[in-house]
Amino acid sequence: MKKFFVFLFFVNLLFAGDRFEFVILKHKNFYKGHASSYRNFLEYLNDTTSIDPPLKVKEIEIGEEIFDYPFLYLGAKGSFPDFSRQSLELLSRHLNSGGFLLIDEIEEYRQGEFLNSVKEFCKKIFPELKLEKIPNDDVIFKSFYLKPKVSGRKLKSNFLYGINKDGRWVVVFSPNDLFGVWARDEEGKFLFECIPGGEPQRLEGIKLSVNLVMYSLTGSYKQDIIHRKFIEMKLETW
Amino acid sequence: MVKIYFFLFFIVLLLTVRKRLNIFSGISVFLLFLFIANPKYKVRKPGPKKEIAVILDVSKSMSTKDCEGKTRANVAKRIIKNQMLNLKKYFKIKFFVFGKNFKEVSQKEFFSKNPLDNATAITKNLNRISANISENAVMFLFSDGRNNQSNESFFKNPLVSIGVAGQRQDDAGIKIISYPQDGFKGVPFKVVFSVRKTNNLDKVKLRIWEEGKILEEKILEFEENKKNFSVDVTPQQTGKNIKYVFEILPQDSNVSNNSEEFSIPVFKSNFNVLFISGRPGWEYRNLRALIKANPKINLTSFVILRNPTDYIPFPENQLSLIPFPVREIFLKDIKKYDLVIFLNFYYKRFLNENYFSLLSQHIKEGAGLLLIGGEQVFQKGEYYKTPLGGFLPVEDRGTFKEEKFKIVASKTHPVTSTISDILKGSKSFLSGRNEVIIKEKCDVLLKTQRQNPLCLVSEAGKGRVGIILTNGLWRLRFENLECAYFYQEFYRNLIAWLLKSPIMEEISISGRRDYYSGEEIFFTIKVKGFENKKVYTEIHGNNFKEALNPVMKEPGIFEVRERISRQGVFKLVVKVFEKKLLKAKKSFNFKIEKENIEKADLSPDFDFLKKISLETGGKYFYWKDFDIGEFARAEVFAREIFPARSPYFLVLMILSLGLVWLK
Repeated sequence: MKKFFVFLFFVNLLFAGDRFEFVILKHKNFYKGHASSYRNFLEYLNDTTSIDPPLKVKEIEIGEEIFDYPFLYLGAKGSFPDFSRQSLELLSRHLNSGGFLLIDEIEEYRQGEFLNSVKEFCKKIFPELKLEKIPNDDVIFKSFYLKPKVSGRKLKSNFLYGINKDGRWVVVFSPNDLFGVWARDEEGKFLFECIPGGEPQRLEGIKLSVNLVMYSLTGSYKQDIIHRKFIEMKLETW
Repeated sequence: MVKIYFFLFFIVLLLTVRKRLNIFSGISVFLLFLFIANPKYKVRKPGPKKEIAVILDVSKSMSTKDCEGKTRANVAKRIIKNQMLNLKKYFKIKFFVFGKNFKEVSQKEFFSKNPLDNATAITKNLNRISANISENAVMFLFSDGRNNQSNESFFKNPLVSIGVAGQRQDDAGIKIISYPQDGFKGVPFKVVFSVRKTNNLDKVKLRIWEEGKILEEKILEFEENKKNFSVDVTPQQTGKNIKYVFEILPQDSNVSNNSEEFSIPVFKSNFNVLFISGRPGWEYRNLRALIKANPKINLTSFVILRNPTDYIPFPENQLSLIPFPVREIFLKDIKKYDLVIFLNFYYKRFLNENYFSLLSQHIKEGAGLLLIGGEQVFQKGEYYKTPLGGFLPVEDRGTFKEEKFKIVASKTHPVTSTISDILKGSKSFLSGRNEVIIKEKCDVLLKTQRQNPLCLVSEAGKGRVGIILTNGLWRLRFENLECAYFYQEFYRNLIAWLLKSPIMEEISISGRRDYYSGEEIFFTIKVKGFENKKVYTEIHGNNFKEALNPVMKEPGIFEVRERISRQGVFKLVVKVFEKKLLKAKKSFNFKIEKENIEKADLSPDFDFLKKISLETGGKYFYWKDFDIGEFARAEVFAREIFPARSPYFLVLMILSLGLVWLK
C-alpha cells in the first residue's frame, strides 16, 4: 500500500502540466547507453534552459502509456529491435498525434546495417514516407544553439536522418551515439572519448542533443520572421 | 333703310331752306344727320370670368432638381405665382394637386404642397378633375409627364400642359437586390442589384463607395433583357456598421436615383495574435501548431527558452536566442494585436506590472486576452495585481495542484456547445491545475468532474478575457481522434470567441432591411451545429405577429419567405431549441414601406404631355416658353357704343323734328 502511494506521488509529480520528460523506450535488446548520460543531459537542460525537466528518466515499454509522453527516446545497440505489429501501430498513432521519436544508434554493429533497419522500421510506421537526410540548415539546427554540427560519440555520418510529416520531423535518427557524449564517471569526468574529433566533437554533440529536445517542444518556432533577422545577424559575427 | 333715312334727311333740309333757316330746324337737321350717320365708339371692358383649373403634379419625381438648380415643382409654382394677378383678374381659378390621387386645394395649400407622392396618375386624375370643373373650363397642367399609374385619357376639357423638367429625358436607376449580413476585411462578398435605364445607354459606370471612399469602379454593359448584375465587393475597413454606396454614373438627367446604399458589420479576416509562453512545453507546441495552421491568424510568438538565472557555457553568438523585446511589445506594438495569450508566463522575471497598462486599455477597447495557467503562475495574484486585474474574472491566488482530473465541457456556451458530448467517453486524465478565487460573474466553459473550474470567460469592456487553469489540455491530443478533435475545436472556438469572430454566433441572419409593401421578404438563416435542434421563426410588428415556416436548404441553412401587405418596422425573430430548451435567439429588424415607383424612373416625358394636350384641342409648352398672360389677354373684351341709337337721342331727335313740323 505504501508503495502504491509512493508510485502515485511520482506519477502525479511527473505528469503535471506540460513539462518535458525524458522517456526511454524499453525493448528486448540493449536499449540505453550509460545510465549517467541521460541524467547528465537533464541536469544540463535544467542549468542552461527554462525547460527545467524532472531529473528522473522514465523507462517504459510501448503501450498505451506512451501517450502520456510526447517525447520518446529509442536507443539500440547492435541490431534494431523487432517490434510487434501492435507496438508499431501504437507508435504510429503516437507520432501521428504529435509525438516525437529520437532514435539513437548507441554503438555500431555493422556498417549501414542499423540505418537499413531504421529505414524498414520507419516504413512500417509511415509506409508513404521515406527516411531522409535532414538538411544542415533545418530549424533543428537553430532551435537553441546555432548550427551545431552533426555529432556524437562515434562520428559515422555527417547527417541526421528523419521522417518529415506535414512539415514536422516526427522521427529523427542519429547514427553517431549522440547521448554517448554525456556519459560521465563517478568523478564527473567524461567517460567516453569522442571519435574522431575529440572534445570539440563532444561540444557539438551537447549542443545538438539540446537542440533536438528544444525542437520537439517548440517546433518551427525559430523559423518565425521575428527570429530570422536576429539569427542572420548573429551568424554574420561567426 | 339707309336710303329712307337719306330721303327723309333731304326733305327736312329742303323744308328748312324753303321756310327759313332757324335754330330749331338747324338742330333737327344735325340730329337727323347724326342718326343717319350712326357714329360709334368702343369701350374696353373685361368679359365674364371664365373658369380654369390650375393643376400641379406633386409626385416625388417633381422634387428632382433639374430646372436650373431648382426642383420641378418649385419652378411650376414660381411660374404660377408670377402670373397670379392676371389670372385672378380674368379667371375664376380652381387649384388642384395630384400624385396617385387628386385633391382640390386652396391657393395657400397649393403653394405649400411638397412633391412627395409615391406615384403619378396623370390621365386618371385629369379625368377626375375634369368632372369637377365647368364644361368650358381650361385645364393648365404643370407636370414632368412621368405617368406611371394610369392609362385613361378621356376628358372633355381642353388641356394646356406645361412640361416642367430639365430638357434631357434620359434616366437610369439602381436598386440593390441582395447583400450579405456581414463581411470580412479583404474577403469578397457578393452584391446583386438591378439597373434600369430609359434611354439607349449601352453601358454605365458603377462606382462603389465604402465609408465615403471610392472602393472600386467598373463598367456595366447592358445586354438584351439583362437588368440584374452582381459584383464582388472586397471590404477594406472593419466596423460595426460599414456603409457601402452603389452609384451608377451614366450622366443622366436625374442623379437622385443613381445610388443606393446599405450598411453591414465588417469583421477582420486576419488577426494578429501575440503568444508568449513562459517556457517550452507541450501545450505551447500544440497550441502554436494549431494557431499557425490557421491562415487567418498572423502569429507572433515568444517562448522563454532561458531564464535569467540560467548559465550557458557557450558564447552568446552561438545561441539562437533573441532578447525578449519587452519595451517594443508592451509599450509600442501591443495595440497591433487582436489577441494576447500568456501561457505559464511568470512575467515578473522580465517586466513589472506597469507594462500591462497599455494592454489593459487595449483589451477594454475590444481586444482579447487569454491567460493559460501552469506551475509558474496564478499563485500570488501576480496578474490580479496588474492593471489587468480589474477585469479578470478570477483572483489568481492559489496553488498549482499536481492532481489528475477529467474534464466536463459546458453544453450552453457557443465555444463548447457543439463539442461538449465528445468528452463523455474519454478515459484519460489530465494533470496539473491552478486553484484560484472566482471573482465575479463569468461563464465556465470547462470544469473538472469535481466541479472545479478549468476555463472561464468574461467580457472586459469591449474586449473579452479567457482564463484556462491548466496547461495540460494538450494530453487530449494524444487520447484519441475524438479528443484530439475536441482539443482543436475548443481552442479554435475559444480564440474565435475572444476575437469576436461571427463564426461563433449560434444564429446568423442575412437579408435586406427594407422592403415595399407586398414585396416578398426573404431571409437566410444559418444555425451553428443545428443537429437535434428545432428552428422557429416569427415576424413581429406593431400589433402584428406571424409564425413562418423555415425551409432547410442545406444542413444548417434555412430560408424564410413571406409577403406582408402592412407597412412599418418589423423584426424577424429566430429561436433555436434543443430538447425543448431555448438554445439561442436572435432578431433582425427590417421595415416595409409604401412602394415608391417614382424613384425608379425620374425622367420627364414631354411627348406624353404633348399627346394628351393635342387630343383635347389644347396646347403644350415647355416651361421656359410658357406665358399665362397670353391666355389672360385673349379673354379681354371691347364694347361698341352707338350714341345715335340711344333712346335719349331718339326722343330728342323726334321732339326736335316735331317742333320744326309745328312751326
